Amino acid sequence: MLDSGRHFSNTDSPDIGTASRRRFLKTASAGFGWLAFAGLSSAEAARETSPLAPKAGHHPAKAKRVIFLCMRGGPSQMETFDYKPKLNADDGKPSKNKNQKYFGSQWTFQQYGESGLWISDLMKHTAAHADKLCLLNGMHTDSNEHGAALTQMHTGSFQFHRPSIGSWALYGLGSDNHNLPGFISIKPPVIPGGARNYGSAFLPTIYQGTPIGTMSQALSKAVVPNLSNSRLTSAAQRRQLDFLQAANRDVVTRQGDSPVEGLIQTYELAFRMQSELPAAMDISGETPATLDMYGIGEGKRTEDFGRQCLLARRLAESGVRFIELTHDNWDHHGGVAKNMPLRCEQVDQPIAALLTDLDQRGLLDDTLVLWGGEFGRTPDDPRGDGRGHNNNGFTMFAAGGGVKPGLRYGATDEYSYEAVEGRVHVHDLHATILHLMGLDHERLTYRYAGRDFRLTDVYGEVVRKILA
Amino acid sequence: MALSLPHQPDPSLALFLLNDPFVMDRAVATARRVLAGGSADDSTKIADLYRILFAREPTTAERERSMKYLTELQQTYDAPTPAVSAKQPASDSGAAIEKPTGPREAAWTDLCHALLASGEFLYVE
Repeated sequence: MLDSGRHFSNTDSPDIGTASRRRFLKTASAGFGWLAFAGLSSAEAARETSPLAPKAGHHPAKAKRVIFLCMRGGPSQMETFDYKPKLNADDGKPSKNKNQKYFGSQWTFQQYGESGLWISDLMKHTAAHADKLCLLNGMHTDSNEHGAALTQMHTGSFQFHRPSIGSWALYGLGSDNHNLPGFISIKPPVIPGGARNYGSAFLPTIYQGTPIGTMSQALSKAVVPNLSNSRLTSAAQRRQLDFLQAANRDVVTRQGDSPVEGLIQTYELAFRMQSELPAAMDISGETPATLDMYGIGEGKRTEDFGRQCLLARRLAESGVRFIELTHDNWDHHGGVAKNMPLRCEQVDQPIAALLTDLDQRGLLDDTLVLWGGEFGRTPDDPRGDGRGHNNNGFTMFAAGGGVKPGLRYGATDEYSYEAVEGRVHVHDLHATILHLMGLDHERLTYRYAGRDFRLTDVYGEVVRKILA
Repeated sequence: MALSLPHQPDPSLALFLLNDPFVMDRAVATARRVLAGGSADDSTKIADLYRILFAREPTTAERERSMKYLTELQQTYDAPTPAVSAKQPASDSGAAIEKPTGPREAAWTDLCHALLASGEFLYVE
């Protein structure tokens, strides 16, 4: 497990995607090992050889799982976590850009907790957790276009089709729960980037994220397609699957190395998901106090994101490796004064509840919670009441999972045009997330089309200063 | 690059093959084709099914396994209160979906459905 020299790739670790153990037993000692192995229950065998079986990383993990709270559209850092008194003082004055004026934040910032982090009143519930937060004020990314930036935030690349970070994590570490997918995206964006944001690209498809609902739909209405059979009872379908799997095993016996081997495992996971996923999604057993804490209740502005956050906690508890939640409409080119309070209200209490809940259950220590959008906003805008896209400087925060709590890392210039110190590129963020999960981003590779690919391509440095 | 099924399909594909009304609709159609085929007994009909789906004869083991499953299914559907749910299949798109009529067609539909979802049908050897 602690073999730090191990290089993790599909070329020197042939058990990724294929069942080498099974093949070894089949060929070694005239196949007697295979006979014994074949006698194991199919469920046990499937677990042992499954590409989703838990795997040790390169080094001990601080974060066993990740919950990424993705704010699609690019939330304004000046209205939330990047305090800019100079910008506020110069509100209305001509900015450095032609025909534009500085647009100060309309909300009060205060220092919170012992750490004294400056946080806006719009995020006052989250601010109560200041001493758990690690603010990354010096984030930057390559594109100021939504689709490109969102895709890069998830896959490291926007030019090419690459696996999502959740897929990489699942490929590297497997999953602790063999009844649920190891990577789940709750209400993922349909556009921009769409399924790419939770796709496995060239990694084996079993590592692809499973979507629940879509960004534009209430979670209470979300369904996972084909999760139940309209004709057969569960027992009748189990019998049908037994027959089907016997036919599949024949193919594997006949052909040896066959994609049908993977299909057998996937059918078992899919069958179990039919009962496990609805159970995980069913929040009827949660106490009224819990629902209230998350702000779940008809007509409440926090209802939908509260449900997403509660579901995230339930999935984290169930051992799902990578969980993502999307919240939409942070693209405020106009109407910042009206839109920011609404968006923040929708997410603030649920985020605080998630942090409280994870903490109370002892899960925050090994769960990395990340908050942020694909980029941030500009301090000025020709329209006067809005903000443009800003990929040169924005804010994300991390909590739990081995990051330093109560820390503000990095900074933008006095107006927040760009990150000037403690700069963290998306590649650096990815390297750091993998590091916290026990994976070395330079050694987690997959050979495809003649070369080894990484999430971080040839970039990325672990941000050591934020590690606890 | 040629389009191909992924080596390790993800659960959504498996769920589609197990539960989607379209797959069930095709299972009904396959069952009707076999039943209308004119072969006298079920064992011969099973061989017809393997030829239709896989372009080969079933092995003895496959023929026996299929017969066993089919017999169980027929007993289930013949029972006064079938243990199998009679819920109506529904299509997301609202398209008309064929459903099996009568216990015999229902039993053959389940058998055909299983083989349509099998690795041998999905992948070219």
